[in-house]
Amino acid sequence: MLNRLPIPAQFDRIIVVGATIAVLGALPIAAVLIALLLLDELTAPEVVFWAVAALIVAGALGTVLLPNIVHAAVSLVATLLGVAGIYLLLGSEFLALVQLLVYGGGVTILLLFGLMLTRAADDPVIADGAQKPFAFGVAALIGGIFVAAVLDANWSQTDAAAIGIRDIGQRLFRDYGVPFEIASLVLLVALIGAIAIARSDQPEPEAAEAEEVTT
Amino acid sequence: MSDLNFDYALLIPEFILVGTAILIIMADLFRKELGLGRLVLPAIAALGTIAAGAASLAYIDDVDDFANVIAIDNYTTFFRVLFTVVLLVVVVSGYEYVERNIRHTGEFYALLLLSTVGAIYMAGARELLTAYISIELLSFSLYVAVSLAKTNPRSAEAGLKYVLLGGVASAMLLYGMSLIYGTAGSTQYSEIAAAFSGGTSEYGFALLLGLVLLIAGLGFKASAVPFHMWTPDAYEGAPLPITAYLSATSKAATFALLLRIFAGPLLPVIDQWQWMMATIAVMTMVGGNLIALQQTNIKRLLAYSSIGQVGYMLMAITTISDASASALLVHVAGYLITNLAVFSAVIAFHNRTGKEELDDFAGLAETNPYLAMVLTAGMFSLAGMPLLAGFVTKFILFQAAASGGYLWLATVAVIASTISLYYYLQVIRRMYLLEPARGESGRWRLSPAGYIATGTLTAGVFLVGIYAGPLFTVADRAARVLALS
Repeated sequence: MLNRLPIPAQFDRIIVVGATIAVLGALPIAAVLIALLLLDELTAPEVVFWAVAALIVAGALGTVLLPNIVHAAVSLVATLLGVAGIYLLLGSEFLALVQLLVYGGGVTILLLFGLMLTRAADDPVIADGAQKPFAFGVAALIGGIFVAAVLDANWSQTDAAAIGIRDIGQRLFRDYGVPFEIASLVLLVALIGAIAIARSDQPEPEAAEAEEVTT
Repeated sequence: MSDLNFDYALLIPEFILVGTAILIIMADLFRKELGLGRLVLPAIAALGTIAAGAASLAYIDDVDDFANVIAIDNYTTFFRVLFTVVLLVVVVSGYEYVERNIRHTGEFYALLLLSTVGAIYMAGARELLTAYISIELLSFSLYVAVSLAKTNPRSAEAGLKYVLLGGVASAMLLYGMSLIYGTAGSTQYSEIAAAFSGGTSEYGFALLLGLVLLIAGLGFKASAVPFHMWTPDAYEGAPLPITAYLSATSKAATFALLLRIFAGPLLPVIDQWQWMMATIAVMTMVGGNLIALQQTNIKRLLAYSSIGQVGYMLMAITTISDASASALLVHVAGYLITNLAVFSAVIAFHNRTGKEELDDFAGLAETNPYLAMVLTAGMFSLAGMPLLAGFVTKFILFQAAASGGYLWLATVAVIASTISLYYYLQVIRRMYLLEPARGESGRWRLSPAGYIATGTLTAGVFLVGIYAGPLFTVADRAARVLALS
């Protein structure tokens, strides 16, 4: 059916159709939010929160439900950007910037590069197992428990205070200097591990030549 | 006093370990140019480990807590020494195996050294995020190390299973930590304890869920039933020295962390987690030992045996008290010595025969009586026979549980321990009562390193079993840091 739509051939049909559906779905939400804002039912930050929350949930659903893994990765970007919006609402703009740079930029690019280099794009369709309905049930159950727990608790600190970037720097590089260095060791291990696992088992060129000489 | 904010000299042992790891990678890179022999890398690793262990002994009774993030105290020092000893044993008894069966030897030793740093900081962490990042350092190194075996396709499979399940467990752990942070308002142990001691009724379900997730995540790392599924596969697929390391440092570090958390910040909410711990302890003791009965592969057998041992250690967490904390430290030390003795014997056996099924041990008493003796002592000690380390350490562990009001738990532990004797005896029966396979009845000898490793560890097993006083004193001093009443 998708092939019959009048879309220029150079666009990925699923992305175009998906984007259209996303925009059509977002329009009524945006309309309702703006109406509530104009009627003074919601304050501006609340409107932003609900919009961002809708973006996060939609992106997460897309990540899980889209059959093409590249599309799922792109959909993940929406979720990560939405989380950056939440950080902004909480008054921690530094964290929001880091989230944008590291997750919205770095991690997603890394993910897409990984897919490209491992040629996952050639065979991009995820095969769901027979346990898919069961997995959905368990996921819904766990999600329900979490929501119930978060709503049930009477949290002590609910107001977000903006934390200055100077404080963050002092905490991160003075008090938390040692864990910070441990994190860098984790990165070192990940690097060593990636190379050690990915490097092929074939003998190195010099060794192969040496063997030829001896035989 | 220096002008620095903290006394960074206290971290010298870890600086040495990390420096050695980097030195090994560099030496591996320029191996051909420098004309290094095959013994150089393990030698550097062993020397660095000895230096780190010796350096940590210099800081007994020194205390600094780095703004409540990492505590260097006698408790940390205890585990520092323990982990460096384990690392040394794994390097010495495993280097022949590594030479033959591991793809990248330089990376292998570097990962072992770095994972030991993670293990040490798991023992030292006094803050949830530091604990988490240390767990990840240990786990990441082991995910990679498990899949480094050269020709064994099971190795890659084991690595994949380990990394997938480990990732899920880490996620659960983080969820649990975030809920506890939300309820307590801080990630530092001391402030969590202060927040919880004032009553936690308004958090109810959220705190309970946080505890469940925390216990599930750490239970996975310790391979407690029902979070043990990865253990037999990872143990079987991993290179043998890594299997030994998994069963030793990985377990001990998790328990170091568990003890610090549950004896400190979570002690005020003991009513909410004690029953969970007791349930998991019973399931782990009974489950691990019962499934071990059916195993035919020595690695899988030792995997399930180690799960059973985890059950006994969880019992000490359940009945947390001053006595059970120091008993747990004694038991961990005794278990490590015994388990490493068994594993270095199995490694030596594998170096000679390349086999690891239980039936391959038939007639070992004929072909190598010394190795059969080492394995027998180790197996009997794991089962808890008198005169050996296992008996003494289990005895005081069970006694601490019984006197802590958990007589029924101690009874279950004694029954489980009796069951375990059956499968340990199965190995011993094969070695002594069965004939060796045809054509393999000739005597053979171990390598010198094999003799040194197995001999020292077996001596340790007997020493702890007969004269355990010094170990008790040391464990007592380490446990006193936890300040349990």
